[in-house]
Amino acid sequence: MQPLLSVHNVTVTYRSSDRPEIRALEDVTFEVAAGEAVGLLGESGCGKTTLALTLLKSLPQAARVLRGSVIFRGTDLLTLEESGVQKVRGAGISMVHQEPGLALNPVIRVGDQVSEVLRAHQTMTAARAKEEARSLLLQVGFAADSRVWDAYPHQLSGGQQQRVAIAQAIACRPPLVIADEPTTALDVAAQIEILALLKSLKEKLQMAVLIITHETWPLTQFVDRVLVMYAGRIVEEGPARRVLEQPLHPYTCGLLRSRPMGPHKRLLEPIPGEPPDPANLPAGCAFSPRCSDVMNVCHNRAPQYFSPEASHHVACFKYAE
Amino acid sequence: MQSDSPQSREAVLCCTRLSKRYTQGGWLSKNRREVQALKDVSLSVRTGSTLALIGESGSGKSTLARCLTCLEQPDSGEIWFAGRNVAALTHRERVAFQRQIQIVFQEPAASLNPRLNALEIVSEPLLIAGESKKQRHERALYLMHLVGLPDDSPKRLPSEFSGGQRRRLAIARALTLEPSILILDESLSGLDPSIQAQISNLLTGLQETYHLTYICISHDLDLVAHLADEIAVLHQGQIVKLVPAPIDLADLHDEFMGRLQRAEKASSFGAGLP
Repeated sequence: MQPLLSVHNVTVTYRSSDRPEIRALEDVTFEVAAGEAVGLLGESGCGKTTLALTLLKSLPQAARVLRGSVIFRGTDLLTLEESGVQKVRGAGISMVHQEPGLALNPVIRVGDQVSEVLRAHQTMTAARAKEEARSLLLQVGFAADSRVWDAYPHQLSGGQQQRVAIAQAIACRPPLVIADEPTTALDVAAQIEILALLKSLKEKLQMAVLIITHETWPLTQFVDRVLVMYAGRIVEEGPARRVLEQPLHPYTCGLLRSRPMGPHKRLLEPIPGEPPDPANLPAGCAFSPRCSDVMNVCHNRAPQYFSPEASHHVACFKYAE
Repeated sequence: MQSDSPQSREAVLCCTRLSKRYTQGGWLSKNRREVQALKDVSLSVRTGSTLALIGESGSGKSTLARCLTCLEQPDSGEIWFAGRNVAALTHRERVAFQRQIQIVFQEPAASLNPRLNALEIVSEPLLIAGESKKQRHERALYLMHLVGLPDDSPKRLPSEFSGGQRRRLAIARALTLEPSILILDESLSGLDPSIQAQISNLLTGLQETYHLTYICISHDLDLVAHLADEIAVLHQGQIVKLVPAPIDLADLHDEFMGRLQRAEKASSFGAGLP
């Protein structure tokens, strides 16, 4: 069966006047099947957000796609004209951003912002759009008698704002929703609430979800498959349980070990060093300077993918036959 | 007024029935109303231990921390430090008391002066305290080394450090006056897991070496369970639960989820609306 989204060898660079070109993504390849929940795990600066923006073809001016393709339902988005991509954004692939406060328009009432999405993609009367938007707000957990419709974004809490952003994202029933760190800006209670909402919507609407995060716990909630990214490359990919419980790549192992586990183990085990500067990546495997299992070959060339077990791939020479 | 501390001798800092109200809106505003930020909060922190404050945003965590450090004057209630009532201190004693409590703020990029270099940032509190230049610089260099900043740090500006290094810089500055209590206001949030673990280990190490007391405000349940000796759960200005170590995460999770569901049933939407 053809996957819903198939990303192949995408390589993106950023240019700037005073620094050498920065390689943000390097040969990123993965697929998302219809109705599947995929988690993308990585630390800041590893290219997570660049990847999300590439999928929507809304990269900033300074970015350049060197090669690769993003095939969504049989069409390569990277070769589409802007008008064609606009039809996909929101209706085919929609996005929930990290900061709901910045994603919503501060001077438009919440209800109008949700119905605006509907009218942009479908021909419908204002009254019909209003009705639809009301039912969307119900779906994301607002009470029927709530006054949210007439509220401005600043009158809502962070969690409520994120619910509105999710209502916008699911308005046109897109087959794929990208959630870029949807819980990072929220407090604990709201984080739990938003993840539960995304999970129930995914099941109810049968949509595929790509959750981008730098924390592991959101991934344990409902994700089927996990991609781990380091310095612009996907270094490990596999079923969520396998990757989170028995990770293969030394980076994934380090990332999981650095989280506190259980009360009062006095010291944590962080990965030594800091993530590399993307303008100045080390030769060979980008993780080699921080890796505890480093071998000679790691300094010479970047590892290809090995598959020690079915559907679990890892870019590390440790697993070379 | 009571003559001695109501809490045990071990407690370095404690407060009894602390209340604080804020007025929202200007005095001519139509929507002027009062918000009860803290309501009868009593707690105590033992020397060398870590107390964590958790709760939703707006539950009073930061107000409590600000009251305990005298940055905010509580409406009622008492604060005791090392067996003495803070309200009864003379001016000179109060200055000494405030040196004992330092805050590491949430976002160091916003709390460090962007035009001072690292050396000036770390030594500035000593300048205010009137120490000589040589002493200031010696202490600052020692602290920067202690928190693990690289050797070329002193001349660099805050913007030239990575996120993790900026946290280290903020911690060094907070330690300059040799405080006994550090308030960590979301000091570990917004960091990547591996860097967060490095800073967390740094804080644990400093606590053991210098017998520091931490009051830690955080949203990260796992991290809080790891660091804290006691957790106070705040809700609408009140402590609804005090959990001593060892902390059972599942228990805390239930507490949060339960409250959430109750809130949803009551359908209290509109609390934030005018």
